[in-house]
Parts: sequence; C-alpha cells; structure tokens
Amino acid sequence: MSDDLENAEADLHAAEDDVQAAEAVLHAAETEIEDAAKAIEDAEHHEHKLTVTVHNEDAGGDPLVFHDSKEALVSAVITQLYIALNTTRKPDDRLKCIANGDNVFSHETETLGHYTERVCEKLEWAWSGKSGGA
Amino acid sequence: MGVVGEERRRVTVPTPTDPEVAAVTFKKHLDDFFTNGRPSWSTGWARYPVNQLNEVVEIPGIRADGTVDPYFFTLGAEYYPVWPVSAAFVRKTEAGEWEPVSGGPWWPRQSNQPDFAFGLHTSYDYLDGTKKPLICLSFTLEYYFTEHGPADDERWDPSRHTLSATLSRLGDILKAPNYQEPDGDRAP
Repeated sequence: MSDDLENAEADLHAAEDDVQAAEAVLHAAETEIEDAAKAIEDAEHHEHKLTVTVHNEDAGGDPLVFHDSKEALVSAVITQLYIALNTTRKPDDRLKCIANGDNVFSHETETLGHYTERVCEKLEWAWSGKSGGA
Repeated sequence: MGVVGEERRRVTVPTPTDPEVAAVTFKKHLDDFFTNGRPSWSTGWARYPVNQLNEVVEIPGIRADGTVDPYFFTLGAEYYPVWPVSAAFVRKTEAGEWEPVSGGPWWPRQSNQPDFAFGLHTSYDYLDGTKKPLICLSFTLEYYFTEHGPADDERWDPSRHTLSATLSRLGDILKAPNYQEPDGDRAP
C-alpha cells in the first residue's frame, strides 16, 4: 500500500513537471505572438509616417530629416526643425517647398497628409534666416 | 579687424584669413554645397576652379517663361570663413579669362525684389574711395567694404553661415519673378 502511494506521488510530481513545462512552452509561444503583433503594428505605424527633409541653406551640410504621421500638423515639423536648428523662429525666416517655392509657413495649420497631397508632394524644404542688403 | 569712420560710427573692416585655412574651408564648403545644396536638386549649376582661393560658379537665371540664362560669379575666399566670400559677376573672354562685368549681357536685369533685402548696383561707393559694382547682400564680402551697418541678425556669422548662404541667395535673385533677362543681347 505504501509503495502504491509513493508511486502515485511520483506520478503526480511528474505530471506537475509536465504541466509546468507545457506552461513554459505556452508562455514562450504567447510572448512570440505578442512580439510578432507588435512588430506588425510598428511596421504599419511606420508605413503611415511621412519623411520631411529640410536643407539649411545658411549653413549647408547634410539635410535634416524628420518623420511624422499624416495626421500631424505642418507646425509640428516646424517646431522640430527649430529645435534641431537650435534657434528660435524669426519674422524674416524663410521656409520653402523646394519643388515649387511655396512658403511652408503659410500651411502651418494643415496636416502633413493634406499638405503633401495638395501643395508639396515631395516633402523637401529649404530653410534660411535673415540677411541684409539694399 | 579695424574700425574706421567718422563721428564714432563703427564700420568694421574685414581682415584676411590665413590662406591655408581659407583654402581648405572654401573647398570643403563648396564641395558640400555642390553635394547637398541647390546644385543637388536644381540643374544649371557648375563650378570652374581658378586657384585655391578662387572659383567661378555658374548659376542659372530662370525667366518667367522657363528660359534659362547662365550667369557666372567669381568667388574669392581670401577672408573666408571669418567673412563671407567675395562675389562679382564675370564673363569669359575670348582668351578664356574671367572678366568682371557691370551691366551688359552677363549682368541680369532684375527688380531688386526677391523675398529678402537685396540690391544690385553697377557702381557703388566703397570705403577706399573707389566706385565698383556691388552685389549688396550681407553674405558677400564687398558689403563690408561699403558703408553698411547690418543688424546683428543680418550680419555674417561664421558659426551659422557658409558660402551656401551666399550662393543660395544669388540663385534666388536669378529666378522669376525677380529675374527678368540679361541686361543686353548675348551673341548667339
């Protein structure tokens, strides 16, 4: 009788180990599924982002690059631009769509998606500050 | 740099930069401009090296109807980058030399009304008493050899400006509606 009890306990422990192992496998699988779902979400999110390239024509050098959603306002990119330029916006600053020379500042309240569809398809801008002369 | 002028009016006169520093910086910034600046997205730009401190840059003049008239600027880096490059309109002679111009076919007819402060003068009084053409822009060296007192935010600042600032604005003045046509017929 005692032997039977011991055997049963051993079987129970073995079964518990199997359950734990199965749970570990299940947890790993769930983690993989979550990671994959997040990767898909990130990829979809990135697909919806637009890239804006800005050339600082006063200083030259590599252009500045910004990524933002179609729903973001043009003003949000302008804010990022001035942070990157490490300066504050001034009345005589110029920011133009390179393709057509249109003044970007006049479209601040538009979304990037609307702006790129209707005004400046290729989001490549040129920035410059004030200069003197007469 | 020195201070000249009457009645304590301060006119800062540029002094030359070490030639080696000037030459290295000039080449580096011109290379960069032709890689990342206007010539990278706009056609009609070209450069013609003269020596380590001088190059001629070709800039397209674009009329309202799309006609393109090339213009040539000689750039000098003797004071660069502490001060801006010197800039003057030139034409190529039959002997292959670059010759300054003041009016005529290689000088633009334009309205002096780009969307920034600017003036183009065939003859202007310089501090040394001479009269010469002037591309009146605070990003050209000649501006600082005339009686101009730019505001701080207009003044050339080598921490914020390179010759890209100069050439980009020269490109702007040569675009319609500011630019119209050459100031004289060019030989076919």
